[in-house]
Amino acid sequence: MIAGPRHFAALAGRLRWDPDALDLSYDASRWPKLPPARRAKLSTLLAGFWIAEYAVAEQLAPFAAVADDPAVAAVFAAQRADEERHARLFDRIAAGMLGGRARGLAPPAVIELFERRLPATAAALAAGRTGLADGVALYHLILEGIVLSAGQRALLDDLADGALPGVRAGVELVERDERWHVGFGLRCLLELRPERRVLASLLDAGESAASAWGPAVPAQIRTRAVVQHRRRLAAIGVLPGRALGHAADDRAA
Amino acid sequence: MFAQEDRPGDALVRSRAVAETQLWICELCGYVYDPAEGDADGGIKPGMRFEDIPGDWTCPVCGANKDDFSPQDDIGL
Repeated sequence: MIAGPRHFAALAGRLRWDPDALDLSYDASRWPKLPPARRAKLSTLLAGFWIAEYAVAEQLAPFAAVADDPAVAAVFAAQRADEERHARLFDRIAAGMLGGRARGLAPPAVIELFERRLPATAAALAAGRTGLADGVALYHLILEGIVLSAGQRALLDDLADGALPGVRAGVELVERDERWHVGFGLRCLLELRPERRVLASLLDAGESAASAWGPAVPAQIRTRAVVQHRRRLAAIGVLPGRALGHAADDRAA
Repeated sequence: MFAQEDRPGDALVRSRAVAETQLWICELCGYVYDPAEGDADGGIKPGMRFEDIPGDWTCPVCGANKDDFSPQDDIGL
């Protein structure tokens, strides 16, 4: 069972934070002193987030527009405000540490997912050529639930030694927001009774989505992200062991 | 004599009955643990009270710890 939209609206209100209040000055001064290999790995992750957070902030508008329930639409709007905060944070990080080179440093698979596949799905949603379930499956479950989650874990683990404390504090806040976004997405899927092909694509998506970052995300984090994805689907009745468990059918039975 | 609701043991029975049906919500992601459903994928059988779930169990949606859950009657449906 997943909480309803009133819960998520209240949660979003409680968790608001200011991306301009984080002090990144120490991080910017430390950045050139980090070993080149570590800087390269962090650059890949930070540049990927710079691309990804801009994309998710831009592409969420059609989701609220097509939601039937005003309470659900309001949560999408609150989520969009979160995504704009995240984009602002990574804009500051990119400006302070990546020196305007972020686009060239981001992994190609991340660019493909966030700048091509997501906009195409959002455009189809806005035009009525696809349903909200397809959009939520991609946005909340695959992009946020697997790709961004794995990238956040990699950043948090790498920065656990306090090398870039401002960046780490920001990523912690982003990760906290993303947890409820994923929960809200699951709730939407439960209500939308998605077609079997949507659930099947979700079941198949784990490995490739977790690999989007390439070697910047260690194998054990990729594996953990896939396991969590499958557990998440199991929690709403889409069980990996049953090739095509259908949550809504099961509940109706 | 005791009034019916005040008999020794009644409070304990009542609190146990509440615990057996009490919903717990993950404060981070909104997942709701319902004892009636359990968490099959996490090895938790239906009927298990939240208090009896092993301490190393994690939220099936976001991976949060058991400590991140709180009892909840209104889950914002």
